Amino acid sequence: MEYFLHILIIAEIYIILSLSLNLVLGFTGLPAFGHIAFAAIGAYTSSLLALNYGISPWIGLPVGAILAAIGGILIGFPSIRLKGDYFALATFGFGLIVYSIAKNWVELTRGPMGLPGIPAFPFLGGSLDSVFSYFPLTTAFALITYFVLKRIVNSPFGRILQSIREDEIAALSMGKNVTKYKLIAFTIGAFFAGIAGSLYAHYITFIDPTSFMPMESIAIVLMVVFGGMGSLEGSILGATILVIFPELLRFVGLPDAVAAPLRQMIYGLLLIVLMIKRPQGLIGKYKFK
Amino acid sequence: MDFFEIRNLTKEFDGVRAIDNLSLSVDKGSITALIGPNGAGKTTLFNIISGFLKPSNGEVLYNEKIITHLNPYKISQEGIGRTFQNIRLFSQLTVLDNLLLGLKYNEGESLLAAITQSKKMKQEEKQNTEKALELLKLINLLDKKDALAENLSYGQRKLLEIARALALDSKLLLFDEPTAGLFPEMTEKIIEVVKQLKQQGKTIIFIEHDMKVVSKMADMVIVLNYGKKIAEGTPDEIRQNKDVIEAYLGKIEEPVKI
Repeated sequence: MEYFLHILIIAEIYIILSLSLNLVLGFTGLPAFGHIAFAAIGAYTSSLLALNYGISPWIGLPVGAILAAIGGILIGFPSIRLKGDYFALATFGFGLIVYSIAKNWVELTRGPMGLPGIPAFPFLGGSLDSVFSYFPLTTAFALITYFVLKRIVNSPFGRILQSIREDEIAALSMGKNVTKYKLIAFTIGAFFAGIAGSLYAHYITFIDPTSFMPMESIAIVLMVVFGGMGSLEGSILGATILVIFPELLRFVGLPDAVAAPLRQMIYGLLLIVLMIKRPQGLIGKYKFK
Repeated sequence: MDFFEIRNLTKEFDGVRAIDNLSLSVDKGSITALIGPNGAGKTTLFNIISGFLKPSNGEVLYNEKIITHLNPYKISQEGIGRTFQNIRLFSQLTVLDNLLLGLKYNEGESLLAAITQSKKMKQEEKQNTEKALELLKLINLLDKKDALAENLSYGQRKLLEIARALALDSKLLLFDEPTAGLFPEMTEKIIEVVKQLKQQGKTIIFIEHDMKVVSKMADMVIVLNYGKKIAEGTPDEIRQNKDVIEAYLGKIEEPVKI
């Protein structure tokens, strides 16, 4: 039971990540390949605030999310005008930069040694330090993320984001400030990724740079594409399946040294099969052009 | 001062002059046809007017204001709408959504309105949906309102793009080959719609190859060749113009030597 809930908590954190990336990638059409970097900003911010200054994660989490959003603006502002492939590279580069900072700025992040003993969320005199108490928290955040993004995509604002994905030039000729809308979408995505990162840190209680490897961003992209770009429900499904599926490998009795690279290979294989058989994803509508 | 004016416009692409020191003006409430052989610079001119290309030299003036260096979305907001030669719809959005994207929102388009699902947003959405449905009626696509734009026929997409430009409620409309490849009935429909626009006080410039359509629609014709204006006049005047015939067919006096 505890193990099962643990997997669900991790799945919910990935659901928040893939929902927020879907707004950027699936709805606005921005190929962002550095999403995990914003989770890293959120995670390190609230962890360091708690460890160094004793600030409650309840404050650290929103602060981390806001810093992640500011990170989104900082990288988005110069790169959002770039055409597709270049934007993808710029965001991947940003992921590398954040990873390198986490690894090499030892005074701040303790580098590869990581941050152990991150405190849990305090709650009504106790703290949310068991899977049973943490599961409602991640569920609440996943639901909030889903409903906020649902409102955004089903509004005139969300319609503009989708028009940018469909045809940027036509959107401009409709008088839409394309750059502004892209930047807002990208920043919202970064904000929610920051929340996910912080939730991860205060759950696992230990983070180090390997938690936020640039490859992790690709895994989130895969969840979005797998579930269906432009479908929030697809992201929930995609993240859940791709988190649970590799866990099943454990029951086959494979040692970790085999299971870990196997996970990557299965992800890669899934992506190839999907692109050939069902490019719009499991329950998505939007097709690559 | 004229409603719309182009002054000494030049656009060079790697040494090729697509537009060569071009000046022209258009009266408010008129329909002007822009004609000329392929590569004369007609679409380039449209792209400069709507801000997608920046000229090497010269100015575009609209309502006594220089708009040459404005961003395309600003130019659209100023009241210049356009369609594209190769149809640019939001293919994987519905027909209705395509039109709603052309219509004006005030507060309803903001992020805050989306998150709070504000009353104002819902109200604007309702009003605009009604307007969009009216436009769909005009182009006989009401029954397709929930279809994806990509699933329409070529003619229907062409009509939808024009309707979407109308939704912008622009004062100046640029149509790039609005009737190209259409059935005669559709062409008639478009001519009718454009004439209605004129009655509403709109100014229209359109690129066209079919002289029959030009004669039916245009008050004035401007002929471009190699980025220069070679003639200007009513459709009847242009038909008789020697330079224009030459530009299209070549000189006829000199017999071909073998």
